[in-house]
Amino acid sequence: MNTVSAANAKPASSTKSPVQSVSWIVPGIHCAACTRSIEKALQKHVDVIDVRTNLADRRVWVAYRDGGNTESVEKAIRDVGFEVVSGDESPVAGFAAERKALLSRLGVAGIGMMQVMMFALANYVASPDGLDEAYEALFRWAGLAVASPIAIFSAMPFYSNALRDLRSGQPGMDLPVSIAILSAFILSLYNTVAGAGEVYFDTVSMFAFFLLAGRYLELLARHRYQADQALMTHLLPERATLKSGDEVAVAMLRLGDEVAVSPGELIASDGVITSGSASIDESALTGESLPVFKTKGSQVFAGTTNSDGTLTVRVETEPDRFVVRELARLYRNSSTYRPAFMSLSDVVARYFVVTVLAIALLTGVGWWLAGSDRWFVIALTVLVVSCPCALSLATPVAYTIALSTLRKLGLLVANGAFLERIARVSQVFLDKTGTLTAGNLSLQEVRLENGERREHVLAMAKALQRSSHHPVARAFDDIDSSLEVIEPEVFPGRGVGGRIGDAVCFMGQVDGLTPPGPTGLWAAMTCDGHLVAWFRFEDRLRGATSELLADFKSLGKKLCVVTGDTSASGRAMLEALGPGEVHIGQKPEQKAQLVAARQSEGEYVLMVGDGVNDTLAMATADTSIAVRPADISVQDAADAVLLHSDIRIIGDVCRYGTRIRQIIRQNMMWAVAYNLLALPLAVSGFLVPWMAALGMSASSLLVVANSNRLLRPG
Amino acid sequence: MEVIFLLVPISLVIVMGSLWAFVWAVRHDQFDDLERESWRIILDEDEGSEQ
Repeated sequence: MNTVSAANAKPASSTKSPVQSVSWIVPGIHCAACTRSIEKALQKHVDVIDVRTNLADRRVWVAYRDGGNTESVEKAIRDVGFEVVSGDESPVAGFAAERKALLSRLGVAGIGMMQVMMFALANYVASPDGLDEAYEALFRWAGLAVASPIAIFSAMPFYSNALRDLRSGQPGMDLPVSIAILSAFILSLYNTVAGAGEVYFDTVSMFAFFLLAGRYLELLARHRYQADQALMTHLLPERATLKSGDEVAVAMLRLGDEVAVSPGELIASDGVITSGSASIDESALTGESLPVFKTKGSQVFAGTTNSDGTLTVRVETEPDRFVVRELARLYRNSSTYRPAFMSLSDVVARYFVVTVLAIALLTGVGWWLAGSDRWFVIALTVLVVSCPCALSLATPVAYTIALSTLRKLGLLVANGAFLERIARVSQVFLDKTGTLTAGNLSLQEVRLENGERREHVLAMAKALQRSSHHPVARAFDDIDSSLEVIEPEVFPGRGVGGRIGDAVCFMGQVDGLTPPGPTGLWAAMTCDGHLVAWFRFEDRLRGATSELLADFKSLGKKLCVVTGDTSASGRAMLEALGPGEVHIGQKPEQKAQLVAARQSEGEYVLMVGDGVNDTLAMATADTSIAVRPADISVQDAADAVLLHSDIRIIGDVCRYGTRIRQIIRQNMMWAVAYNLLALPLAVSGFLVPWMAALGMSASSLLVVANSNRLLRPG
Repeated sequence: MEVIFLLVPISLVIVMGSLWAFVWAVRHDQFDDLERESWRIILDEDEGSEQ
C-alpha cells in the first residue's frame, strides 16, 4: 500500500515580523532636509532599528526593538523641532488647522503685496528728477507699514524652518529664502529711516506671496492624498451588538463571539456567517461595486456593509488582525518606500543649498565690484530662483499618487518596490486554481475504497478541510460534520492532515498515487496510510481569463501557466486559449524552479497567484500579485494584493507601471533642467525678483501637477 | 497735492482693517464651505420663520 509521504512539507504559518513598527505623520516636513534631520536623529536612538520617511505624505515609519518605548522615539522627533501626529489617528483634523494658518499668511501677503505695489509705483513713474523728498519719504514709510506684517507674520514659517534646519545642521531651501526676505526687508527698513537709498518692499512682498502660494497649493494636493489613506482605517464601527443583545466595543471582541448585524449596518468583525444571508457590499475593502451574496458558512470581513439581510457572524479573527487593519498597515508601510536613487538626490539637495548661498554671495560681490547698482537685487534673485525641492519631490509624489490610484482599482500595493518592478516585467507566470479559475470548486464525485461509507468519508473530509484555506475547502461548505480533528496540519500545495479518532488521516495530493480519472482535480484521502477515497472537483475558468491572456500578449509579455492541478482537461482548456506554455501537476518547489529557470535566461518575472502553494514561487519571482487571497500569510509574501477577482486589470496595471516610470523621468529631467537654466539667468542679471519667486514655486508645482497625471488609471 | 499726506495714512488704516478682517474670516472658518450658505434657503429647517 502506498504510504503518505509528507515529511518534507512545511505547515502553513503566517510570517509575523519579530520587530514592532509604528508610524507618525509629521506635518512640519516639507523638504528633504527635514526628513534627513529626522532620520539622523532617530538612527541615533538606542531602540530604533530602522527609519523610513516619505516626503510626499509626511510620514515617518520606525521599526523598533521589542519592548522599546515609542514615547521616547516620539520625543526624539519633537526634540529636532517637529510636531508629531499619531499615524493611526485621522490626520484630517490636523489638515484644517494647517490649512487655515497658511491661508491667513497667504492672504495677508497677497493683500499687502498689492498695496505695496501701489506705493512703490509712485517712485517708478516719477519724472527723471525723481520725487520730492517729502513725497518719497511718505511712500517709503507707507511701504514699510504694509510690508512689516508680511515680513514678520506671513514669512514666519520660512524663518522658523530655517532656524530649525540650521540647528540640526541640515540646511534646506528655507534658509536662502529667509535670508533673501529678511535682508531685503532690513536694508529697506534702514534706508527708510535714514531717508536715502533704494527700498525693496515690493520684492519682499512678492517673494513672500509667491512662495507661500506654492506651499499652499502643495498643501492642498497633499491633504487630498492623505485623506485617502485616512479613510481606510475608519471603516470600522466602534461598537458591535452581540447576539445576546449586549453592546460591546469592537476592540474587546473575542474569538467565538456571535455578533448580530442588521440590514444597512457595517460588519464589525472578520468571521463566518452562522445564520442568515445577505448581499454584502465589499467595495470599501475591494473596490468592487457589485454586492456579493453570502450565506451561512460564508466568510465576511470587518468594514464591509450588510446591505439587506439580518446576519449573525461568529468572530474568527482577533480585532487587531482584521483584514482591513492588515491592509491598512501594508498600505501605510508601502508609502514609506524609497528607491535607491533617491538617497543620491537627497545628498545633492543638501549640498545644493550651501552652493546656492555661495553663488549668491559671489554674484552680489561681483556685480558690486562691476559698479552695477542692481548688485543687491541680483543677489536676492539668485538666492530665491533655484529649487532642489523639485528633485526631492519628483519620486515621492508620483509614488503616493500611484499607490492611491491603484488602491481605487482594487490593487493594494504592499511593497513600494512593486511600482518600479512592474514596469520591467517581461514574463508573467500565472497560477491556475483560484487565479484564472473562479476558485469555487464543487465536489463532483466521490469514489470509495476500502469499504468505507460515503457519509463517513464526507464527514472526515469536512473535518479535515476546516483548517484549510484552499479553494477545495469551500466545496465542503454544505456538509456538516461532528468529527473532531486532533492536531490538524496544513501542507502547502499538498493538502491537510490530522488525527480523527485513532487514525492519522490525510487529504490531498499523495506522491505515488495516480488519480483514477483523466479529467478534473482529484484529491486522495488516506487513513493510516491506506487509501480511503478519491474526491473529484471541478472548477471553471473565469470569464476574464481569455481577455487577460490576450492583453498580456498585446503587451508583448511572455506567458506561462503553472498549476498543481493534474487534470489533462485543465491543460486542454488552457492550451486552447493559447498562453504559450502550460505546466500542470506542479508542486510549489517546481513552480519556483520554473521561475528561477526563466530568470536565469534573463527574463524579469511577475508571478500571479492566490494560494499558499504559490508563496515560494512569489518569493522567487522578481515581483508578485496575490489575487483575492483568503490567507493573510499570502498577503505578506506578495508585492501587491488584488482585493477582488477581476483579473483583467492586471494588464492595465502593467501599462500603468510604465507610465509611472515615464512620469518620474519627466519630473527629474525638469527638476535638473530648471536649475541648470535658471541659475545662469539669475547670475547674469536677466531675472527680476518676482520671476525668481514665481519660478521657484512653479517648478515644484509643475512636478506635482505632472505627477497628478497618474490619477488617471488608464 | 499735500492732501496726499492725509490720504495715504487713511488708506493704511483701511488696509490694516482689511488684513484684520481677512485673518478673522479664515480663523472663523468663513472660507471652509463656500456652497453651504447658498443652499440654506432651500434646506428644510425645523425652526422656520413661518409659525
